[in-house]
Amino acid sequence: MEYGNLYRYNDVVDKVSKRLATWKGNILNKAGRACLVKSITTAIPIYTMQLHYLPTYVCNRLDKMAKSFLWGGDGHSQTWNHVNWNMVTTPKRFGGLGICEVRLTNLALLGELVWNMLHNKDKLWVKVLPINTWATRLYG
Amino acid sequence: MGNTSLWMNKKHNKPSITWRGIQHAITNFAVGYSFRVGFSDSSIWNIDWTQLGPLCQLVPFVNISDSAMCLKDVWEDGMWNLQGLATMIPTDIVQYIHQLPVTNNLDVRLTDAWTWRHAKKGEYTCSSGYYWLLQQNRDWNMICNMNWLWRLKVPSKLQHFLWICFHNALPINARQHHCNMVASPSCTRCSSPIEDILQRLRDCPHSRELWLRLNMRRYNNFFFEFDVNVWLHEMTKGTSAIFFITGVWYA
Repeated sequence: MEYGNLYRYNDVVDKVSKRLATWKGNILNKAGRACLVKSITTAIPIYTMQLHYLPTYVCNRLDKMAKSFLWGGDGHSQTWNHVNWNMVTTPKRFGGLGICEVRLTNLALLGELVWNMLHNKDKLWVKVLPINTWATRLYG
Repeated sequence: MGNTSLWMNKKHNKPSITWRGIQHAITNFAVGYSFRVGFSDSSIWNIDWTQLGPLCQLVPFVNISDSAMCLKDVWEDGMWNLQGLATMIPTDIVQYIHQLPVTNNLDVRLTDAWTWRHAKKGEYTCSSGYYWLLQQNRDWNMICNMNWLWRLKVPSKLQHFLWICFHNALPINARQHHCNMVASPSCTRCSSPIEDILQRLRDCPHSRELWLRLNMRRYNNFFFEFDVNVWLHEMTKGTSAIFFITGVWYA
């Protein structure tokens, strides 16, 4: 496998874009679309994101699909986004829609690994890691 | 296994995919961890609890009387008591240690450990990590509380409509004109010069007729409030919120 290959994560993008099909956008209202976006773009890539740091390109594409579907009812075309994306991704309590941003979700999931390295040292994958190396990287 | 394990691909001098992910996470989350002193017997000198490396490497020598010191011995009444040690520790390191983020809940059952500062229990969870990251990247208004909107007992399409009104994002002519999408900002139903959100929802003659039929005049300030957000919030408080919101939808 080539390192840094942008097409490695195409299957994730394809899965998401298949679920956000145009016909679904046309028969749903805004509330339904927001709900679908929430459950699709934040759920499907999670499996990959637990281990992989997705390239920025892939994150942007996933975010773009979510935006486009939310506002235009189509995962691909350009749309007029009425509310700032930063606002849409804030929690509902603070005036957003609570849609998860892909990059930050990815980091939060990877943070679980860091926690495991600090606390669950019995896990096999933690034992396999060169502990002295990661310790110096974390605090050095 | 050392540095040449399968995780560090020495041949290409590039880390594995997983390790790269972990590195990114470490750089982002290292700030959020703090140390908690418990009652286990971990040595001050040998474990790396200061984020600077093991302390024995930072001091010129460790005095023989201090070599068995544990962390709980130098932690007294919520303060580091480093003066009691016979070993000379450089002053900048002493200052650094005093500034270290330390969680201050001593418990017999707990051990010395790094804790995640931004969760109540000190345990990292994905949601707390995500929320913390989001707080770093956004500057939202902490006082603003929109829960009232999502708790309204109305269909969710109306909730979303209200949400859009709240962000002043309805595709009305004043806004479209601002974005150079239509030629004039005037209202297409009446001949009002500017079609802004309040005009569209309340002051336009057609909308006004609807509101009068719904007998909305019984509310004070219904026709005199000039801030959209205040207007929407005030009117949805009463028992007739569903009337009001449905009215907004059809106005």
